[in-house]
Amino acid sequence: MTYSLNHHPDEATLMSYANGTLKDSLRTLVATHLHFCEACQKEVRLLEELGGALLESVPEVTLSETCLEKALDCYDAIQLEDGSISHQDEHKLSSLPDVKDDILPPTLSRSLGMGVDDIPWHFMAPGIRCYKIPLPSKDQGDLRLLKIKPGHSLPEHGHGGTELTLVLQGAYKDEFGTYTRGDIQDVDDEVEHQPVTIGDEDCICLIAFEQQAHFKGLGPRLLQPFIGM
Amino acid sequence: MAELLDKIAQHRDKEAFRELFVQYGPKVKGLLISQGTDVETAEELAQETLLTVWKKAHLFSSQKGSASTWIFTIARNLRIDRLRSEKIWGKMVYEIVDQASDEKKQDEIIEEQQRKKKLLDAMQHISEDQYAILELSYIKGLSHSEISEKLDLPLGTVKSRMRLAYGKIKERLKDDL
Repeated sequence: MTYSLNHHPDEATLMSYANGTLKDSLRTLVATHLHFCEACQKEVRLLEELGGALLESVPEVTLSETCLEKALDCYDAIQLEDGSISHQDEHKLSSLPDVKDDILPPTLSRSLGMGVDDIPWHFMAPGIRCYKIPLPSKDQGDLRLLKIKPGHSLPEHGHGGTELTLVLQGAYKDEFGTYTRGDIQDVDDEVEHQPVTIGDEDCICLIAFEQQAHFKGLGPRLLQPFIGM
Repeated sequence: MAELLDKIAQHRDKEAFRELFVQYGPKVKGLLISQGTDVETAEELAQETLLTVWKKAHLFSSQKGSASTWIFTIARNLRIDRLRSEKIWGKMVYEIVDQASDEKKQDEIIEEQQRKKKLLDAMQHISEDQYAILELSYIKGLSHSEISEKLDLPLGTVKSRMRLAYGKIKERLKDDL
């Protein structure tokens, strides 16, 4: 289901998504936003087309002589399989169990292997719980889910590099606007902001940092050991 | 290109596959090497890219972009896959935008060629600075921060040049969008 959204990623962020240069933390978050946003899906397709056009201008590097022959061998081998094409590796994802969840889109719930009710939240601060999502390697940034009670503010922070926040449930507002389900906030290290949750239900956000976040002020600083930021 | 894919999908045409391989294999290998992949892996991934194209030719729809775009995205996904120890993260996130449609119309072939021509033409109209950043991002595979370091420019400037370049390209394509 797509929503009519007010806040989208920066086009520069979508560009890096389209050409595969975003770190896993940011990439996963953008993909989750795409689940909600048809407009951004369309942008990504055009940005990929740009990649296709640029591919034409890449300096070619000759393939080894045996490369084509090996490929043709594979080609023959696959064709021999009862005349039909092997689809087994086409959607490896489909071998993952489906996890139906009202809050987490399938891309996220399937890769986490759980729905929102099973998330092992950790205490981060009064009214704020956090789950750090494991990524394949440490240099791929920082990705976490936050669950914040209404009327709570997140510690003020600046960040090294890009920070993306995606609302999955509830809402928050800050100096730049109000964010609800599917909305994304895309800020870089020149921006400091103070989000406050609004409404009646807990706000669940996916938040991705390109690098470590720097929290400011005595309270938040003391909290850092708890959350590893 | 789309015609080749058609022949591969409909008739498993070996000559068409050979032609596709000769035309795009060296480009994909060149792209992967310029993005920092070692020569041996680049060749392996180029081969895998073209075989994936063959296996999925029946799913290709030029409505969703040109054939070279499709090859570009397959190479991108395979490269990300190879870089990750847990493959699921590489595959998972492109699931939404990577779902090819199986509908195919004859006039799509002409559409594809025209659109690509327009795109290449639009790229002639961006500034050298903007083009340089597109190249670093798409061809060299650098992140915003890496480009900012390499060119000694603030991160904001890198992003704004990307936006400007993209904006100009879109402006020239607006009748098609």
